[in-house]
Amino acid sequence: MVLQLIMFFMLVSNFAMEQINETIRLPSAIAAKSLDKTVDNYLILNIAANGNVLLGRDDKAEALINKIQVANYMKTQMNLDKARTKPQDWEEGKGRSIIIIRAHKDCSFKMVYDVMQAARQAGYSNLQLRTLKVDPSQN
Amino acid sequence: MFVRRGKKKSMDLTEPDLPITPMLDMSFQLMAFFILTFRPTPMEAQLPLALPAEKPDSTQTAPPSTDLMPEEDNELIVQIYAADTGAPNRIIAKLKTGDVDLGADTAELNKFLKDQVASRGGKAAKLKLEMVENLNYQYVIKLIDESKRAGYEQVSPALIGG
Repeated sequence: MVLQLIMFFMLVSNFAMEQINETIRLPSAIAAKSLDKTVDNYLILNIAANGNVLLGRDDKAEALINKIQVANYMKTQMNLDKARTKPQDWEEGKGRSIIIIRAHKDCSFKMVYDVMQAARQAGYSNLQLRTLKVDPSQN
Repeated sequence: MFVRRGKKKSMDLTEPDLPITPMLDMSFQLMAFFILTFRPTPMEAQLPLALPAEKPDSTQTAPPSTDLMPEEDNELIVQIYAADTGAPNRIIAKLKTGDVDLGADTAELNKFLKDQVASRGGKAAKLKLEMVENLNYQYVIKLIDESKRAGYEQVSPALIGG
């Protein structure tokens, strides 16, 4: 009973750690690659159809509603990356998170581009766009 | 061989008193819970990209950027315009020799890019996709997808006039 409860809470807490918002409907791509499970440092940004950047799993998640909030958030994250990286490694360009953008398929390009710009201005350079994998034979 | 024989002790074996039934009940309840709440998430994948270059500060007098110049051999620029619905209605490739209108079909872009790669001996240049603000994101992904499938690994999205 105790072990079962422990297992249950472990599973639940593992789900809670994910920053993936389930309300986001991703677009599809054939050329998309499988996810790299070895990536440790990443920052997931969920962009809703109205352009808000959601930081949690559902509709009630904290949202960044304008460019300034997104820019400030990115700068804060960059400072956190810097704080947890050795100065020597930081100078060598290590320790920076990979930005993962999960944007709703009904977004406009401007909404996504603004987030990309904020990431770039904060000092991030690696970016991934999340999509659904499509089998080419089905296309 | 000498074998030492100990005294046989008579032991009273007592059965452990494990309440199996409630444990099984609990296990089945948990299993039922997981089965009922299980929702398989669709398979996600990733498109790696180069981040768009930072906008130069207009208040400072910086040297003119060569970022958008099509003369640069190493970069191909394609501009995509969209209708009010957010769907692409005009795709234009900016070449040294002039603009090439590829219509509105993203498959035409794929064909054109494949020809470009073939004309460069199988070596793809960097590709910059300049898009209008209102282009729907699913078409953005479709355009990047077509570019990657044509052999362009270094794709950089940008805003027209941005």
